[in-house]
Amino acid sequence: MAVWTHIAHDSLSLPASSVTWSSIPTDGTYDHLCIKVSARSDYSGYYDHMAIRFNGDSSSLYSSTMVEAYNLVPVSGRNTSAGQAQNLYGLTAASVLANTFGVCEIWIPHYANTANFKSLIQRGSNPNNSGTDTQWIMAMNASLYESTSAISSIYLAPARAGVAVDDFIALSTFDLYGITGA
Amino acid sequence: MAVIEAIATTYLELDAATVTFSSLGTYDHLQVRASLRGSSATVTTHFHMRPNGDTTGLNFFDWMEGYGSTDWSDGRFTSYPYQNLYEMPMGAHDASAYATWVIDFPDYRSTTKTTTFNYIRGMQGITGAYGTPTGSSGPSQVMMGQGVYNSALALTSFELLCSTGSFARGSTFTVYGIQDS
Repeated sequence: MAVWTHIAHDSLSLPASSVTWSSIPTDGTYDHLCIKVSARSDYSGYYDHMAIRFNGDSSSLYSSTMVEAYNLVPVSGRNTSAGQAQNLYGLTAASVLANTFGVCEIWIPHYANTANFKSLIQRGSNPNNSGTDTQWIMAMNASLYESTSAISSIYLAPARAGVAVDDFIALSTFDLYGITGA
Repeated sequence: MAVIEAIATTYLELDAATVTFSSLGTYDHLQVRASLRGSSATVTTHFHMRPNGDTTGLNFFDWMEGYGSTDWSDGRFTSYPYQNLYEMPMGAHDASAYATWVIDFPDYRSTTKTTTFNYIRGMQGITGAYGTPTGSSGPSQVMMGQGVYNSALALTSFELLCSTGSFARGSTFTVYGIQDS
């Protein structure tokens, strides 16, 4: 059996405020999930960031910790009791170099188990042709979803000023992979 | 066809100044995994990359790094003729220490998007603390970096090279292709 299976691919031909994948198998078909995103938002600034929700759940069960850099001094931050895992960077915005899309990878280990809370680890990049502070950013994010439910759906949206206020622009791509152990 | 495939692996039996991958296939995304060491005995060597072999100053890059008791980040690197993916161990460090990179290129065949990538990098040594024996940094560092190659050409090749000297014998590079079917 293949170790990696491609579950879903979305390539936007028009702007969209979110991407949702549902009916993700939770029967042991896969052990882990991996998401790869190459996306840009229509926000007028230099970078946006994403939120992720599982199982359509927007209750206050999510917390996130980030380490990020946008000048000479990296900083760390966290938030708790949120309605989504948030501050997932890797989503460029309209002021960044034209046609430059972010780089984002999200891993969700053991997403189908029903004994433990779910966690994710993510790294995201917003490169730019500017060396000016805050006109570029990169970050790593660890988030927790305080639910023992298996994850059968995933919702991704820009979240700079509220979930799905901005749009992903056309040509943004989103891939979901299932990873299988031996 | 598998979703992830190894496109090519280069294992250096001898020191080499450059390694080039020029057949990158028709996948959706690329990943490079490298284990590297510089050949210089005394000079800290940086790992450089030239997307499409291009030397025309279209490269921009940033990083954030921790190296023990402190950390720093920097994004002031604009219009370079190469991407700088930072340092690898040199001769004065542990003789068998190699640094590790995992580099991701999403949607690398797009002819509309610029080529973007990010990476994680780590090297952990025992001999040679920060600032010694020469160069700006010692052998213990963990880093995340990113870059953009300001060209809408599809990425069809990349040249990997050192800021000085060569990649040392035992350095390895593997390029993986990831696809949606």
